[in-house]
Amino acid sequence: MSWRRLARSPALWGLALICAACIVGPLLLGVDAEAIDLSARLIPPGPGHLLGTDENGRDVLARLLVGGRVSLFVGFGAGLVAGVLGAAVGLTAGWVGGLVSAVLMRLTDFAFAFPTIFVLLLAATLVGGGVPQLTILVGLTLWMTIGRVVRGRVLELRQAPFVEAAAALGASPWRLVGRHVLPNLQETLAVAVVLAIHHAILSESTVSFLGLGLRPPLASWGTMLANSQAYLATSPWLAVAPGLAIAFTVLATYAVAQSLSLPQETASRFRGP
Amino acid sequence: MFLARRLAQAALVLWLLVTAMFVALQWLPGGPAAFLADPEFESPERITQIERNLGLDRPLLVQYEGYLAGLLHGELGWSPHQNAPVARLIGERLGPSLLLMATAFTLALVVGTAWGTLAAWHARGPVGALLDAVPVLAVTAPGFWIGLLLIYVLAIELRLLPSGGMLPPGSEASPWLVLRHLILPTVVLALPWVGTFALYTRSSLRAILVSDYLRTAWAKGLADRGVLWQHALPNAAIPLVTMAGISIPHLLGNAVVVEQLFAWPGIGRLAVESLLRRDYPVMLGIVLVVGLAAILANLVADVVYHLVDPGVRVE
Repeated sequence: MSWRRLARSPALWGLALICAACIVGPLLLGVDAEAIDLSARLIPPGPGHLLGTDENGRDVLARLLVGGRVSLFVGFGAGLVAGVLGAAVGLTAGWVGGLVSAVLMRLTDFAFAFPTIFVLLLAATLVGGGVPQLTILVGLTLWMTIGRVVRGRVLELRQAPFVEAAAALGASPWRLVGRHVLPNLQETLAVAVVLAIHHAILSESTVSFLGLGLRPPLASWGTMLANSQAYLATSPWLAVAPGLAIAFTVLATYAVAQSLSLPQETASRFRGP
Repeated sequence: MFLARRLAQAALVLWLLVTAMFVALQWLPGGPAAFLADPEFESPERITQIERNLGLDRPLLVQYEGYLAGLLHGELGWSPHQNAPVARLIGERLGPSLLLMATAFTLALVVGTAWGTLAAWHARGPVGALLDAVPVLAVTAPGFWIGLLLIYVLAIELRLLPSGGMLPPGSEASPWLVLRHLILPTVVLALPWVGTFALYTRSSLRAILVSDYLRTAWAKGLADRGVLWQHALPNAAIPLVTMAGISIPHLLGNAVVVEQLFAWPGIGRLAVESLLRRDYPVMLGIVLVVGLAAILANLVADVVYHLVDPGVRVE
């Protein structure tokens, strides 16, 4: 993996900065994100409240940082869930092959073509809007792409000379998978999981924005945006801060995934018109 | 042969989907009878009575048979909240959703492929970098946030366009009024797909522009326009066919949030409304319809791909 290129990627540093701000920020800020102050409702951004206050007089910056914890937790957690599930499906389909692979890949194709938001909304309504539930549900809707790319890589690795050599030396299938295939999957998996995190952050904010994800006292960027809609005409800053946070984080994860994967064009012979 | 196998697979997936819906119907809180009679308010005898009327005391297999037979007649179930058949509720919302999706899809396809072609052609220098950056932004931007900002700027501040809603069906509206309501939701729905189509066109066209046969085309003195339109674009369009097919059910998914944001009376808004009301039969009906659309879109994309690309026919 190109760790060097990754370390030079501004997107990774941007993402790290966002995570650090959300984890440490609330402690440094020292403002209670839940403190309601009805005498300070809907104050525009200014010296006292850097990002203004919301309809209950709560500090938007404090809520943004605390809500970011939730959004990022769901995003990273769901990415992990999707990674484990996708790796399991891809590995099974790629290594076992035959009918198992055919069935798994057809299911993956269908799940891929299906707009999972409908099932996600239905499931989120049924199990209720807790953070762990939503994390698992979002993860369950994002394994398909990972399963596909992992299967493709496993099919390549199965026929790689070093794997065949190990098999010829009498390595058991478990050893082949554990020692020779899995370690070589890490690059493929890293790109796919980061992309899944990107989609997960978007999914969580979408579901919460629709009012079917996290329930009100819990702040996340999505619920903050949902609240802002009613005050859009008078207090547009309520929509700007969480929206920018989502947009920036989502763009950063996308860019990290791009810098992890190899450049598409190596030697270009085309010089253009 | 290919078509027969593909059809069989599609039928199998459809059967799995229908069966999953039937199981979900049994599983949902309180079971099927709770939709008609809340156990908290109705006596157990009354519930048994309702279950008998609905045939819920019959063996599951018989019920399953009835469910399948109903589906074949276009019956998707009954919504107790609305006291109306689910098929009719969905049918009423289908028109506005299809209108929105059709305009967004057309916009995305036209603008996306044009942008991708430009980006592939001018791949170098600052112009190329800019042409490459915009689709990435379009793909990653959270649509509902862009929608909120557009509402604020265009509808609230500048008062150029309505912030949402659509005219009630059957009202005597001028096409101009319908169009004005359509612009913002269409743009927001199309945005990520403009980016997706642009990225696909760009990478597909780039791969072709650096290929040997195009170098030959240039070498024999063909003008740029001839190279692009006759040799490069037709081949670059092939992967787009699959992408376009797959995008259609996903557009329905994106429409959920767009319709909610702009109060557009379509399927997506119906889904959110029915979930907020805990009106599960409607939601299951929507999932079934959307699943059917996904299966069909996938099937059509595969068949068209098969027809336009001789390469895959060898398999």
